[in-house]
Amino acid sequence: MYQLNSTATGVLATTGAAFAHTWVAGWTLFVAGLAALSIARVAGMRRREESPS
Amino acid sequence: MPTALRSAPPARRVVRARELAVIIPAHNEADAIAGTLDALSRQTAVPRRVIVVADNCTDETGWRAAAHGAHVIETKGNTHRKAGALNQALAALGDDAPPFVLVLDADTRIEPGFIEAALAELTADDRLGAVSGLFVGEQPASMLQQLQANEYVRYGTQIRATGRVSVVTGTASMFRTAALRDVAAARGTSLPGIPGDVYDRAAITEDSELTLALKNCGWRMVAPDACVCTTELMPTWGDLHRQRVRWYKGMLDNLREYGISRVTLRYFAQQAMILVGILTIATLLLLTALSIAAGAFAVHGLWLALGSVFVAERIVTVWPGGSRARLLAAAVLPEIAYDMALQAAFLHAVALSLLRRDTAWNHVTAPEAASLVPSR
Repeated sequence: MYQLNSTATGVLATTGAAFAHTWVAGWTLFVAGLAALSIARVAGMRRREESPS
Repeated sequence: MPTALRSAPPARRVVRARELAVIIPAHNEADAIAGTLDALSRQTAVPRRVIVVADNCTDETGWRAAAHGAHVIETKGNTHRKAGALNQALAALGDDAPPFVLVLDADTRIEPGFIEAALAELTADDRLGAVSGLFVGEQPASMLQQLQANEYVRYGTQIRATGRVSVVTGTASMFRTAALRDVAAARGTSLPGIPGDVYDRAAITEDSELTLALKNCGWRMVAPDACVCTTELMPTWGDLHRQRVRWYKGMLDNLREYGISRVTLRYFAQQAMILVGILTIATLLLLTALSIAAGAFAVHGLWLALGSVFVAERIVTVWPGGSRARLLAAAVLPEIAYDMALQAAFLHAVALSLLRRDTAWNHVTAPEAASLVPSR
């Protein structure tokens, strides 16, 4: 009854792909931030271990 | 370094039976038990009271443990695997139980300073309920085992860097008896399980369940650098998959049992992160395939630069593992494949948990390499 024509299907696919691209990009940036935080933590830990107390 | 210094034996003391009991649950561990007991005898603080709990053994585990000087008890009618065996052993200690108990897997060897460091931590802080071991893999014999060893090194690095202990490992951990008694008293009311049991018989990962139980009772836990233990690495991808499905499903089941609370919120967030990460990687692969098919695939400098952050993180966090560990991390692709294998295990565990299906207990018989530690 409510069938999508080819134009509507194309718009839907493009919108979906754009949303997916944005999601993947955002998540990658978020995880990269976590990775950078992890590097900073480990570097800080090594500095503390090496500094004479 | 002068030879005399290098070969000087560490100062040793005997830990009396009324201070500490070591409990080693063992199911058909005849090949590994000698190495585990030898590692105890090499401690800087040597425990006097070592109890091997022979659980439904059909091999020479009990005999070999006794030959190495351990007190051996056999479980009676135990159908609840490791949790049941430990409950019986802890109950057998009775009212005369020492203030601290070390629970040790029969295929795990602890470093010489483990017991001394754990006792020092527990003695210094009354709020401490448990001291967890930091497990590392045995000498890797294949790339798959090196990948697991890398993962364990990273786990240790994470604990050292954040000070947070997610799970008091079942491989080797020391507990304050008062904390275990708190848990046993709370079972059946504020904690899942049967009143009087320390370990929940229904939990398939009894260590993560006990961690949640201790945290719910308000006890703290640490994993000091000196408390290192060596544990087995899975020899095949199939063994790894079965082991991880059990670990993941165990945690998921525990979280369902406990529900959302101040204690479990972080654990729920971790599971959600894993799930979202899996879905995102699947989406990334799909989009990449589609863009290649459409002839629109291109590599941008920004994403390459971000990729270098991930590579740096992989290498930095595995640095203590040595050159082989760093080289494997720098190769990137093997670790990506390994991560995807773990993700498959996670999805399998989620499916089993949703369907409330049980998972098999994966018991890997110790290979020859694991029993190389010389016997007395």
